[in-house]
Amino acid sequence: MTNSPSDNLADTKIGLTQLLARPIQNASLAQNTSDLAQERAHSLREEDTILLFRIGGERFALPANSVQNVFPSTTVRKVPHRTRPPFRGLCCYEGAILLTGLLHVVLDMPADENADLKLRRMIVIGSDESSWTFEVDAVDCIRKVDPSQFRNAPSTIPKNASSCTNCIIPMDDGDAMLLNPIAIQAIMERSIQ
Amino acid sequence: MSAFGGFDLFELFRAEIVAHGASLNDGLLRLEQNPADVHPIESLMRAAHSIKGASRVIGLDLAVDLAHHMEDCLVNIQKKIEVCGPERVEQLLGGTDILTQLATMQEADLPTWKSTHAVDINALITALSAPPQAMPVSVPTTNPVDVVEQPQSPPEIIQAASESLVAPIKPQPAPLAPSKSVVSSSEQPLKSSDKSTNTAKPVAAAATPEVRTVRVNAENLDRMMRLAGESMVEGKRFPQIRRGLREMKSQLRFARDSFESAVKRRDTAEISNSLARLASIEGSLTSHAEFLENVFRRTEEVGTKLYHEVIGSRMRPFGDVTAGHPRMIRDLAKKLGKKVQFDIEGSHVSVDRDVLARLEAPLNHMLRNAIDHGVEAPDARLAAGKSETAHLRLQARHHAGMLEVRIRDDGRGIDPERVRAKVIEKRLQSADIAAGLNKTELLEFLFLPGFSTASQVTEVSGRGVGLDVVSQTVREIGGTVRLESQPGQGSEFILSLPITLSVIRAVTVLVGGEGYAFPLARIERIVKVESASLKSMEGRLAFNLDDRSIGLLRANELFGLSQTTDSNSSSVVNVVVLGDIDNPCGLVVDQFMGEQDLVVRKLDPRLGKTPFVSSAAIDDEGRAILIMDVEDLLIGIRRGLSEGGVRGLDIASLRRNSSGRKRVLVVDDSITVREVERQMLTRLGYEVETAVDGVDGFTQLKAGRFDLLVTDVDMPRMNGIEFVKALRREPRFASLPVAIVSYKDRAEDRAAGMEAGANAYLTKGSFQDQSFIQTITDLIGEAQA
Repeated sequence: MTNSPSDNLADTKIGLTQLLARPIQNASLAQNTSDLAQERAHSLREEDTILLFRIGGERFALPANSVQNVFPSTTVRKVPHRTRPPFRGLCCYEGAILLTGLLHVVLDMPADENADLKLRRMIVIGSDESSWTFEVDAVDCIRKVDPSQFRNAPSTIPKNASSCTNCIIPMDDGDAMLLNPIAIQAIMERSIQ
Repeated sequence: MSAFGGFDLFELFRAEIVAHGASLNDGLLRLEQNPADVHPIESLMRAAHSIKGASRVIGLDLAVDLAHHMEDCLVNIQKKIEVCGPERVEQLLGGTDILTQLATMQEADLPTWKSTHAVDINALITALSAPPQAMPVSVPTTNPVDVVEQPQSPPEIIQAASESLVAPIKPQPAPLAPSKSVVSSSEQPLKSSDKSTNTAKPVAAAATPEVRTVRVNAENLDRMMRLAGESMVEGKRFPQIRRGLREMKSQLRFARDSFESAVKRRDTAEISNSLARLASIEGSLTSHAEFLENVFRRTEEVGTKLYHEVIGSRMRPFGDVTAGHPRMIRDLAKKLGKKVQFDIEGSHVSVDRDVLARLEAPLNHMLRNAIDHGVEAPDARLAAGKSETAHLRLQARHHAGMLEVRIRDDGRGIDPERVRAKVIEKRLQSADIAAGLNKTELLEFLFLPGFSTASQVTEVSGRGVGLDVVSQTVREIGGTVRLESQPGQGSEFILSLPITLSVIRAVTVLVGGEGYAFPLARIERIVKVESASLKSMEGRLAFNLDDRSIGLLRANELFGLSQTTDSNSSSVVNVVVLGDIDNPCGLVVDQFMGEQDLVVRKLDPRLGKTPFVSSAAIDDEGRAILIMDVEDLLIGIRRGLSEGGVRGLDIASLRRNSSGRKRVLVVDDSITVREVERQMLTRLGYEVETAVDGVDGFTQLKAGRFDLLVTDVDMPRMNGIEFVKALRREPRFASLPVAIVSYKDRAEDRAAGMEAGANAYLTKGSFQDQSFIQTITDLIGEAQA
């Protein structure tokens, strides 16, 4: 006696059901969970998205999740007796009055006087109570990056608490230095204390 | 329904408790650490006094008693009748704990609070009332009898303190928004108060930032929503305009190409067609322009209405602040055995809610003063030929763009001769000068701290912690207060206050290329003065205005702005006249920009107290602009002039600055080096002054305006490193570019120079190449500003 095709199908179904219903080993469960979680965490890491910008011909990046806003360059008002760099003054955007600093001073770089005024942008980092705004020569783009490709910053860049450079992000169109927004905020904060 | 008629009085009370509780905690802790330091006591007294006043307004007698005894204790400490030992501090902190719990209470919880704390408070009052010698403190070896015999207060002249909900001397947070520091201070009571009650919410709950809420009239909110919706609709018309313009642009390009091609081909028919197309485009453009204009006009109209509606939402009727007064006056009059008819006029007058909040304390104080000391007892009134019932009137109205509040009583008034005697007794003026003071001048003394001297200190008044606070509070919100009085006929306080603190009318000026705003109400005048009419007095420039000589100071120097776009090369000097009638001064600014209504914004708290700046705003072009604190500016000017940090404008400075060239100060003890540097810089077009050492250099820097300092290191009296360090400690020179030029070229020498605050460190070898010149131009640019 031979089995009909429908019998074969029924057997297969039963087999599959048994396969799915079989008890899963704890070790397998943990491994699968870990694998799935890692993959998902990796794909969702916000800090892997960066904002690329330029100052004085050099390319920098900030984690996109640390950037609150980007807007066109605007007037910055000096504050009497609060003129210690890198503090620059106050600027206004969308009705908010923002503390503004000089990022090139924080990075110990000369300002690029010849940068195209039309391309200059203001970047706001940090939360409302601790936000700082600074001007950059141009904002290039926001892009995803692969953290496994990051390189250490050169030894000439000090690796202490006040260091603003976390690492170097190699890219096809040139390297960028990934900056530490917390360190930038801290240095700017010190200039008004 | 609230016992206070729905008015947020209890909310204000809680905010007062938070603010003053924090002051008490901070001050007592400081006092505990340093009992010899009596400085905190004044503010502690004010805080206890204010809590007492606030508690009375809401009828919390227990809290009044407690605060009164705390205040008594503090007075004794201030008068050195007792030493503030650890136990006393403990008791005062215990009292503060109990009082600050009120900040977390709901109005409905008050009866529970009273019943829970009655025993504790009475015990604390007993402890606070204990004589100083009972304190387990090493009291200085004074004879207790002598101490007791010290006069409590001099003879009465005028009523003294009353209750005050006024913010104390130190700047306080907005009453409805306790600051973090206040909250952290108020965590202190939690531990000790826990054992005394389980009913109150933990004070630490206040540490969680509360969402600040305000009441807005429903109609007002409806109008705002309608206008916001309309604003959005108007905004959506712009894409339509943009599409139309783009279309016309492509039509125009096509018409132009056709026209050029037709011209080349001499195709007259096509030329005519092209011209017809151009005419059609012109027609479209005209209709677009009209459409655009309509949209602009409508957008502007909606925006303006929305702005006024939002500003209007901050306004509350004056009656809000007077809600508790009739009851307070009734109770107080009854307590003092007096008969008072109290009238309020102008309850409907609109006032900004922030002004109202600040007005609460001065009003409370002056009304209590009037009943306690102004109004006579019924028999005394009858004997004086007056009606048995005194009249007390509180009146509010809008007058000349300000809120005018008058408090008038028909009591005994103030005898100016008794004030004069007290002025002499307190040695505030010599007898000769006091004899020449008129009544108005004498009454001004009543607003001085500690001048009030009632013969009896009661819980109502008598400690001299009152009128000065009234005056200070009124000044802080940009108002004025004056007192008029006729002996035997009564007194009247007249307050002139801004209707709102949210919007100010301001004069905007340019100083060093930066925009600044001076509140119109705080400046006397703005004047354009012909340079030729300036007079020199002891080398300082002044001009005549209404028969007064007004001395001039340069605003950019005061503001510590080294770079300036000087507009004084013209024959006219722009002057903002500040100060009172007797003591005016003229601030020279680069340019007047006009008048604007500015919506006041608080400065970022991270900036701390910023000299001369009260707040910020956004100007008509959407830029940040700083609003000057004229009061602070005047204090800074007076202090600067007396200490030599600020100099009046001199002729040389005016001429030098009028050249528009940048100025460099060269400091070197070697005449050769000085001369080399001077010649090099002069050749580049800079104006150069020289000094022979750090001391000389510092003096010259303070006296003039410089764009750059070039200094040597090794010099007598003050070397270059010390010089630069000293310079950087002065806020006005914090950003002055400094180049050190020295023979020393070791790495550690350079590091020392840069660490001191120099912007560049060069060796004298740099004279041989271009590096000296290059560095100078890098630092300050070309010679011509």
